[in-house]
Amino acid sequence: MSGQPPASIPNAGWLEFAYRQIDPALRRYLGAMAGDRGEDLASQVWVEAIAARSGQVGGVDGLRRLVFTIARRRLIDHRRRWWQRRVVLMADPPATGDDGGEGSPDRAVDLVRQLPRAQAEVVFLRVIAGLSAAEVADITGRSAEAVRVMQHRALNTLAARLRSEPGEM
Amino acid sequence: MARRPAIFTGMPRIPLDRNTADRMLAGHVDARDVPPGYEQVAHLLDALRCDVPHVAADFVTPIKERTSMLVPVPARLKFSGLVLAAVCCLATGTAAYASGLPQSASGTASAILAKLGVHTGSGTSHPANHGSAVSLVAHDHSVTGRAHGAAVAAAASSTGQAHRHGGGGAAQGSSDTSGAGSSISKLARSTTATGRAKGAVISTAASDGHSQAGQHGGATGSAHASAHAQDGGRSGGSSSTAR
Repeated sequence: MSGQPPASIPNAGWLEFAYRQIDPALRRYLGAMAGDRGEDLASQVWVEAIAARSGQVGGVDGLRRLVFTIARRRLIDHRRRWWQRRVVLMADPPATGDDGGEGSPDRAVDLVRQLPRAQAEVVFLRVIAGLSAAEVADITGRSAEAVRVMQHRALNTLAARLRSEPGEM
Repeated sequence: MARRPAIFTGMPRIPLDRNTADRMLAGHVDARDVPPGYEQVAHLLDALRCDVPHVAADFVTPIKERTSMLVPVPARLKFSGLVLAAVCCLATGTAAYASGLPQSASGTASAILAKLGVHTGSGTSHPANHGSAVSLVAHDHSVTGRAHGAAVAAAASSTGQAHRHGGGGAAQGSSDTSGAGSSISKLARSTTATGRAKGAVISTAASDGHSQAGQHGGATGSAHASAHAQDGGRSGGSSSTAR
């Protein structure tokens, strides 16, 4: 998705460059998977990522893989905690006209969230995080072929739902 | 209710294969190019992707465009190839031409080409080398006696005549006063000696006194007999005188 930063960027600026490249996708991914808790999780992920990676070996792509690996683990922890506390989530606020428009990102996130969780996670990691199928397989602990099968099923499911509900997108 | 034909319901839906699904998720397929029935999915993925930042233009390292499928050859290699080809052509052409040059030019060319490892031949057929040819015959000890002398005389006279009538190169060879071949040829034609004695004279002159053909041995033949007769006459004369 993005390559190595040029050599003219100093080390202090490199982290800013990587942060600006990765953080919006991370927040969108965590928001799609964890709702309102996404912002807090994103902060935790960045703290862990910077602590785990003092250097810049691997470039932006390497840091992207690390960040989303940590993010997925924090999401799993978040779900476990939620299950232990038995917190009943409140319903989402009614969508306003701006959020529910045709082709809006939030509406797309909602449609993907209706998929099975594993498929939604694969779609988010592929599209929002910009990772390849092999990288997603690495992060989720599945084989690359399993990831391809899941994303194929996810797209077929989305197509079937969009055909049954014309005018959704 | 009868089912409507496909022309009214749009294009028939084509099942999505896994590779196309993978490319759609990677953003490599435009929404207009996806299989029929998946246009809305492509728009949904574009909507998911729209907030993902792209690399700023000033951070992008420019990718060097490939202008040709062929591997470019540096100009230095091209020039070296041309020089090598020119040297090869010059060497082979000079080697072919040098064998027909006069002795001085041929010798110069041969010396230059010898440094390059190209040999142009010995050049013994040249008129100026006539003396060497006669000398070779004179040094040949497989024939002895009168026959040796005849062979040397024939070599001296025949090659000399051939080169005299051979054109400019031969004329130059005959006009070369320092050439040994012309003097040997003249000696062969002008000497009054005959048979074994003529051969000995020519052989000695051709080899600068190294050859002793016809001077020793050769106890066969008429010359040997006459030599014996002369010796016998002397000895007989002396003996008779002594007596």
